[in-house]
Amino acid sequence: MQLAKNSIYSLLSLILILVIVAFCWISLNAEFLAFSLVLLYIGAITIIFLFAIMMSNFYPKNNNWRPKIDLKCFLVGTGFISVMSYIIKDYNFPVTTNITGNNLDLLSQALLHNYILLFCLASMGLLSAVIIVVCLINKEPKDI
Amino acid sequence: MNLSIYLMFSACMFSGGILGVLLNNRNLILLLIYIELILLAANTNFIIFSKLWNDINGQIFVLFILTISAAEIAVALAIIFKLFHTNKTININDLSTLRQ
Repeated sequence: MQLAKNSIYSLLSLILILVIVAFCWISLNAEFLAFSLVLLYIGAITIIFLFAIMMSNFYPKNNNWRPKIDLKCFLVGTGFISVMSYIIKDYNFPVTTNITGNNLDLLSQALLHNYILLFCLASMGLLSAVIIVVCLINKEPKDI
Repeated sequence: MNLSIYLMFSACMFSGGILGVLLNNRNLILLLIYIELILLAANTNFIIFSKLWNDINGQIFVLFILTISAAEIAVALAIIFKLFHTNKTININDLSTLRQ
């Protein structure tokens, strides 16, 4: 199934979806997480994807490109979404509580008070990921 | 306010991501992009139910998922980088054997 001519077009569609989802999260009273989504995902992860696509993807010269969609995948996708929406559609999810305090205050109070150990473990996980990436990319020096 | 529309949006993203992962015959990097879409749908679900039950723990989990998925993407792209240098291709159908 090919819906985009290039990998770069797919990445730009991902950026558009991330922006839309960020606005969605702002309407759900999670403005700090929406901002961190824009900053981290769009600002860092998609840039890394762009570098990876630039360095490793060949650009096939296909002037007569047309989008290809299988009928089976279209039917499976619409079937899945229709079943889920049939379950969810008439169920009333009422929100009756008001949120006191902004998102950053609530998050920071919970994160640094109840989840401080997980916070430290997550930071150690990030450090190990950076070390792993550097060790993977590092080339061995050639013997002269 | 009714949260069903947000849940349907999250379901659409999730199903799109799963279909993309299963029906992808072009690239390894496109696979990672679809996995990011799946994770984004799960994150949106967490935030929806955090608002429904007025519980901050859902948003804490979203913060951890954002962190760990960023690390996972970096490591996966480093592996793909090394793979491209040895095999000169990132087409999924060409990379079906472990050694060339």
